[in-house]
Amino acid sequence: MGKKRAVGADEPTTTSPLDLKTLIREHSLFFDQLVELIPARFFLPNSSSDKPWFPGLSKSQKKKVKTQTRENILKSRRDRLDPTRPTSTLDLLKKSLDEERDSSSDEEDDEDEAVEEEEEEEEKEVVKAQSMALSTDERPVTYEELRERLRRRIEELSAGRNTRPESKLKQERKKEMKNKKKVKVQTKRNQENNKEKEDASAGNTGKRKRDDGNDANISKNNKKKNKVEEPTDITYGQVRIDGKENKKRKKKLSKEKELERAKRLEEVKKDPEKGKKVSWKAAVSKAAGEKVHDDPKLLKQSIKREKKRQEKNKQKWRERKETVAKAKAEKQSKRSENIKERIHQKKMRKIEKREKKLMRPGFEGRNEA
Amino acid sequence: MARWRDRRRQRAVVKTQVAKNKKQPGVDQVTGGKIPKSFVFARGKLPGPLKQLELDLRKLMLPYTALKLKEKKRNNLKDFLNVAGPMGVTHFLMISNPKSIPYLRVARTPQGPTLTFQIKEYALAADIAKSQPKYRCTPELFKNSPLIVLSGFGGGGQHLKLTTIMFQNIFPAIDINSVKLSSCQRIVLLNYNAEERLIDFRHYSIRLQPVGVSKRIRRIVQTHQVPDLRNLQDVSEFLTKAGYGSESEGDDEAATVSLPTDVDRVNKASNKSAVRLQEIGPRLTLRLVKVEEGLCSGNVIFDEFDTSSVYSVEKETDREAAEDSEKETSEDEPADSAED
Repeated sequence: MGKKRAVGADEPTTTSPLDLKTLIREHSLFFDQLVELIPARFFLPNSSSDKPWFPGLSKSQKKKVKTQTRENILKSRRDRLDPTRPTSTLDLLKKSLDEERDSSSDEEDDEDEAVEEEEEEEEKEVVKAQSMALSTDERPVTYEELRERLRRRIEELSAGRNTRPESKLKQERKKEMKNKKKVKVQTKRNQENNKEKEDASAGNTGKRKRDDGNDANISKNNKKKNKVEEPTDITYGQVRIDGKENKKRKKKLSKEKELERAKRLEEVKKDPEKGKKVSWKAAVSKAAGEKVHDDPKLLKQSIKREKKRQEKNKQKWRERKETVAKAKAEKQSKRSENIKERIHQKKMRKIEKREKKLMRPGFEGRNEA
Repeated sequence: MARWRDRRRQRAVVKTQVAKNKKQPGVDQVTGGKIPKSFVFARGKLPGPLKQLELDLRKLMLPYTALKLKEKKRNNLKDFLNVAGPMGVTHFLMISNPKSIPYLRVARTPQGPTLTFQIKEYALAADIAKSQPKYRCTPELFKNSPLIVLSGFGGGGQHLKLTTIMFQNIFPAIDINSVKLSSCQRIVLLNYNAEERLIDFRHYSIRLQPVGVSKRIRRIVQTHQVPDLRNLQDVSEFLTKAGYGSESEGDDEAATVSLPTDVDRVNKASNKSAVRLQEIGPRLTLRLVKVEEGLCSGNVIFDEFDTSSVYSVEKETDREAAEDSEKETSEDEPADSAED
């Protein structure tokens, strides 16, 4: 029953100044720790002037204020991570107290201030030391170990990666084999190539899917120590570089002229050399899709067809004209007939009218005298 | 009641008909040129693998070809020609097997030249698929026509020039200014081997991979799937385990390009990407045997084997040899006379 009292009673009886100091110090440390737990914006007295008031502002003002708040947020974020600036509640509290002291009264004792400041600093240091002690006790178990693990893993990987000497040899050997083969083929090709190389490159409608295809080739060449010529006679598929290229408008000869030309060509073809040239040229242009009219039989057929078509058209035209004329004539005759009829009818009606008077019952007839 | 049901059925029938009549464009909207279309068919009876090759070639020529072309025994070349005209088909690819030697004939429809190739060796797409561990072939690949690259055709002879022009015109032209990089997904390579006079025909799919990004990170970005971190101790392990790019990156420096535009989510403009080719489709080794002026008719203007034709490679070399020998004799004579 008296336990509680006894516990409480014992402590305050020892009132030596040192013990009191330590007691006070302990209490203050405890309260400081409590204060540290509370975030600064709740603990410190908030000056109402700092609060932004948005609703009553105009648009431009609102924008300004909003940018300001954004900047403030960024600034506070940066400051939080800045080690030199104080951000803990305790520090901020101290700061605000200092400011108050400076602003309100400059007449306080400097000594007292200094003493107080020193004490506070000491306390802060103690607190920090304690916290550090707490943290460093735990961290070596996790942080250092993690570091070690990472270091070990990196070493392992780098060791694994350094198998390149062997693989590099293999790759080099492969390249040498390729080069040897290419040199063989190239020497043979170059003999044949020299004539037709220009033709090939001229006919090369050169699209490259890769923008730096040229660069790639050059780099590849530089890589190879033998400096073997890459097969430069690479042709690609059809490409259109410009949207509207100049379409060669070939003069269209009339079919008869074409026929004559074709007949001439046929004779030329019988000649071995020139004929060869002509037939190859024709084959190449046909393969490219251009229409080559060099078969006299087909040309004759087409001429015949065209003639027939013309005949047919002529006939159709004639028939049309006929029918039109006929229809016109018919209509005209019908019309004139109708008019005649009308006149006739008119006359008849008049006669009838006249005669009606004379058709009285008992009338013997007109006196035709 | 019955009438209403019939009406419904009628409407359904009409819908499918409408869907079938979707026409392919005859003229390229961008370039303004005519889009070349092709028919791939067989002449005569083919054995199993060759039939499969025909189907593979048809797939290769998509989208501008008749995928489900049905040919009957009684169909002649004339029948095909008659159909080709109104449909705007420009090329015929014909596979035949006379005397058990497979031939491929490429011809331009109306009156065009015919190139006859002897198929020395071929590998089907199915075989290539089985030989690769990771075969990637989606139907989306075949929605655009392939690019074509010919190599080694520069030197020697009109027949090679004709072959290049022929193959260049089988696939539609590309307008550089307005082509979408994501639509260039396939490529056909033709390589001429001058020593053996053989043409290698290969068909690849193009894939762009960003350079400098590790595989795992790329996978996350592309597939949006959360990775499995079960066996890892730390997130840093996940990032560092992948290594710095793949092992083969050192090789492919030449095959990287900087893209002019965005292609995918992953490949962005003015970033370096590596071009990866994976083989799909059939593999052929061809030898040009004959060139005729007409469609499987007309003058033979090039013949590989026969020396009595208008033009042949052997004849040319013989002529050259004869000229050389003449020169030698003429040189010897004055020398002898001088000595004498």
